[in-house]
Amino acid sequence: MITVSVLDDLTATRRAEVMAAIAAIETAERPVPARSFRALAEAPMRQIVEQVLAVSGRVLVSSGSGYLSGYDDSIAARLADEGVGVLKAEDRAVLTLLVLLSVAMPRAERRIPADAPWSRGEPVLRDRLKDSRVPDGVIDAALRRLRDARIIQIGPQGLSPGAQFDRLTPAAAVGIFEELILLAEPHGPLASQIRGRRAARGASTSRISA
Amino acid sequence: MPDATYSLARVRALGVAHVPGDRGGLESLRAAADQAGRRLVDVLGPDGKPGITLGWRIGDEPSVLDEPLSEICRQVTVSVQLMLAACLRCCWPDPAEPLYPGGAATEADVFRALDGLRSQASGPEHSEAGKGVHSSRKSALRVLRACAFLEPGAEDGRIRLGSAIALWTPSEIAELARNYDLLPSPRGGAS
Repeated sequence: MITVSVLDDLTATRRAEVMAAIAAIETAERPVPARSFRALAEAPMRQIVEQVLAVSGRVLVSSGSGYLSGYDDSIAARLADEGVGVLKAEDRAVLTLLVLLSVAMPRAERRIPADAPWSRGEPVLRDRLKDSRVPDGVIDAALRRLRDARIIQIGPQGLSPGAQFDRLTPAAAVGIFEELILLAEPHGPLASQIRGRRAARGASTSRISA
Repeated sequence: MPDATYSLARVRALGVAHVPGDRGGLESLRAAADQAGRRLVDVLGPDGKPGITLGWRIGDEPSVLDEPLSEICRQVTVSVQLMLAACLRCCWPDPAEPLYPGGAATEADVFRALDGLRSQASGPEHSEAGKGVHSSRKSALRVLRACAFLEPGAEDGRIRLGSAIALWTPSEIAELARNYDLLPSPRGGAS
């Protein structure tokens, strides 16, 4: 089988620069500053990085002044449909509580800007999560798993979303925020708008696929 | 979206995936990995069956970033580093043999290897301190499992090296073998 990669068209130096940038954004915990790698700093080379990432279903995610990689939205949806990489139900419940308290409510009350990274949420005390109907033992076990996977972080002030949130694509971040609105205020005007947008999107998708 | 693209993403998401049943499927996956600057590495799945994980082409492995870039990488505590060192020693009894997949060790073996370091450095520990040490060791094992340096918890409770170890380069493993005697041993700390 003969295959041609965009990497094969590059000089050895350019190829090494592209792969160094890809290795960094695929493995770093925090956004990689664009100025640190030529292949991220220069737009034409950044395009090559995007093309190489796309071969494995990945995309370049801009976060502040840096970059990380994430799953392409259609790939992420298909993985989730197959149950690959899906969190346990109790972990999802605890994470939802934390994101509501740490990001969604502070954003709604304008204590943090709407465009602030998710990993810069307000710290939440562990006891606050235990005001919920989720049993304490389940919360503690879920928090351990979520912290080990870097989905949440535990600092001296409390708990907040972790570094994995920096890998969300814009569409994935909007999707999560919309789900939080639908959960917190299902009959509010914002929830109606979201349902309307989704219904319109669904109708247009079915027209395209028909 | 080509199917090989999805399959590569799936391997990444799973960490370790089963080897495709048909030869053509495996070849197209290897070709796609090559186009992405990656390679498929043969590993053992948690069920002991052959699996594949996504590695880097030789020479393209992530390099250790220097200051100040090192701050963007996951920081690992000393207790996690020591735990990994003890697990390597206990799961790799003969450095003349391949490091991966190595053998299985008991948690007791690994903890005894770490005890050797403690008794050399800090003498006997009190019961409260002992509880803290035990909890810190359990936490270190969880972190190593989450990062695939160790296999996810098996039902038999034994410790085995994980797929991330299979990605180490021959030169890294040779360096480790040269310093094998510095790894904490269950027979009394680093020998």
